[in-house]
Amino acid sequence: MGRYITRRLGQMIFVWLGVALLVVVGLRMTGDPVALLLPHNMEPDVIAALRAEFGLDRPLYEQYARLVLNFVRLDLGRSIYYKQPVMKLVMERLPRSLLLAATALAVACLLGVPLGTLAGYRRGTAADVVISGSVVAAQSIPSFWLGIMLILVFAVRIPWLPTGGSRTAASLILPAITLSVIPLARMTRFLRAGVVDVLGQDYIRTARAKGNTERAVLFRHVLRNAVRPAVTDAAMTFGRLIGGAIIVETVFAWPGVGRLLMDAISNRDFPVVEGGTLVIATLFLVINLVVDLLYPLFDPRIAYD
Amino acid sequence: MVTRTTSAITRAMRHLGWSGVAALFVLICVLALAAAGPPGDPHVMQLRDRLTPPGGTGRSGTTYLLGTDSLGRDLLSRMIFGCRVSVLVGVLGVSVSFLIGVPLGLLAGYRGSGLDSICSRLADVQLSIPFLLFAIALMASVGTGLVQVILVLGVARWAVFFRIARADVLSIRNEEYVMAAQALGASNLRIVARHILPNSASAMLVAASIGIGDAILAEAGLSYLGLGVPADMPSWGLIAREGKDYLQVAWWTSTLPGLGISTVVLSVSILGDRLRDFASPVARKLLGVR
Repeated sequence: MGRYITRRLGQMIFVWLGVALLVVVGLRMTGDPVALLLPHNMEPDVIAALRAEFGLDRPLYEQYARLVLNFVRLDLGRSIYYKQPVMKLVMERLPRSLLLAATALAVACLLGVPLGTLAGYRRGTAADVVISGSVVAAQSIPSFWLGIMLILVFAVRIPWLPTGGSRTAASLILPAITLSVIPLARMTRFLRAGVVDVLGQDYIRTARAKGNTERAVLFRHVLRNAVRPAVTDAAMTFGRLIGGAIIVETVFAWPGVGRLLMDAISNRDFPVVEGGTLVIATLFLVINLVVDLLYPLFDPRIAYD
Repeated sequence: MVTRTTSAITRAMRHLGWSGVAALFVLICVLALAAAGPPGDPHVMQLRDRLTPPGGTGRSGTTYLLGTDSLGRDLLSRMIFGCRVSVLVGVLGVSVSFLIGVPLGLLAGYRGSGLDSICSRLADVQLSIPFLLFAIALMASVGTGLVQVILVLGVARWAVFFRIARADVLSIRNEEYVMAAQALGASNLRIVARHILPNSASAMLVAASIGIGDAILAEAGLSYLGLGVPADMPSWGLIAREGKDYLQVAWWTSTLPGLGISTVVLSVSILGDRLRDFASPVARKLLGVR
C-alpha cells in the first residue's frame, strides 16, 4: 500500500509539472499576455515596464521554474485588479465551488442510482427506452442553455427561485441541478450497464434458485455489485465538475473559482488567470488521486501492494 | 428505381435503427439549410421590428417566421448563419485534433520507443487538464476569432485521437498480414498506409463523429462566455448569449438557438452511437461510456 501511494504520488507530481508547463507555455506562446492586459494605444515603454514587473521578459524556462517554486510555497503572485494575493482570492472562493460540485454530485447519485437500476432491471421495456433516450438527450444540451431555460421557467415565469447569486440557500438549487445533468446521465448509463451485466451472472441464478424473493435478489445481490463501479466513476467526475462549473457559475453569478477566472479574463488580470487555471487543474489531479487511493474501501477485492 | 431506393432505406434501417435513420435525416436537413444559406441578411437591423415574436409581423409590416432579436435582426437568418458557424467549428475543430492525433498515434504505436513514451506522457498531461478549462485559458490568451476557436478546440482534444489511433495500431501491429507485408519487404510507410490505417479507420470515424458533437457544445460554451467567435460571426452559442438579457420579454431569442444546438448534437451522438458497433473492440473500450 505504501509503495503504491508513493508511486501514484510520484506520477501525479510528474503530470502536475507537465500541466504547469502547458499552462505557462499556453498562456505565453499563444500571445503576449501584457498586450491583452493593456489598451491598444499604450506607450512601448509602459508595456516593457509591465512585462518586466511580471517577469515576462525573462527566458521561458526561468518563468516556469519560478512559477513551480512559488506554487510550492503557495504563492501565486498578486492580482492586478484586486491588489491582493491570488492564493487568497482563490481560497476565498474555493469552498463555494466545492459546495456546488458536491451538491451536483449528490443529486446525480440520488437520482442516477434508481433510474439506472430501473432501466437495467427492466431492459427493453418502455421505461428503459425513455430513461436511456433521456440520457443521450441530456448529454446533448449545452449547460449554459439549460441554466438559462431553468432561470426562464423557475425564476422568471414562476418566480420561485432566485435567478442567481448566493445569498440564500435556495440560490444553490438551480445551479446544482444544471451542473448535475452530465454526471447524472453518466451515472444512469453506468448503472444500467452494471445491472444488465450483473443480472447475467451465475450467482444471480443461484440466488434465485435458493428461493430468494425478487426484491432480495435485486437489493442484496444485484445492486450491491452494480453500484460500486458507478459510484467510483461518479467520484472521478468530481474533479471534472469543478472545471465544468465555470460556465454554470457564470450563468448563475455563483461566486466560485470559475467565476473568479472568468472575471479575471474580462478584467485582464493575468496573474489570476494563470493562478486560477493552475489551482483548478491541481485540484482535478488531487481529487483523482484521492479517489484512486480510496478505491479499496469501496471494493475489498482490490488491494494495492 | 423505386425498389432500389426502398431496399437502400431498408438496409440503412437495419444497420442504424429507426433512431439512427431519424438522426441522419435531421442532419441532412440541417446541412441542406446551412448550404442554402440564410434567406435574408443576418446582420441587418430593423429597430422598429425589435423583439417581434415568432410568426409575428413587425411595425414595418415584415413577417418573421422565428421572430427578431433585440436589434430587430431576423432570427431565422441568424439561426441559419449560426448553424454554418457552429457546424464549421465542430467539423474543422475535430479535423485539427484528427490531423495532430492520428499521425502521432500511428507513429507512436508502430515505432514505439522514445517517440511513443514522449507522446504518451504528453497525452497523459493533456488529458489531466479539464478540456473546457484548457480551452478557456487558451482562448483568453489568443483572443476571440473563428480560426482561434477551431485551433484551440482542435489542440485541446488531440490526445483523444492519439490514444485511439495508438491503441488500435498496437492491436493490429502483430497481426499475420502485417508480418507478411514486412516479410515481403514493404516499407514502413506502406505498411502503415495500406495495412494498418484502413483497418483502424472505422474506430477513428466513430471517434470523430463523437468529437464533432463535443466540439459544437464546447464552441457554444466558449461563445456564451464571450471567448468564442466574434460578434459579427454569430454562432448558435453567441445568439443564445445575446438573447439572455431579454429573457423576461422575449423567450425565443435564447431558446431557439439552444434547441438548434441540442438537436444537432443529439443527432450526431445517436449516429456516433450506432456507428460504434462497427469499431474494433479495443477502440470501443477507449470510446467507452461517454
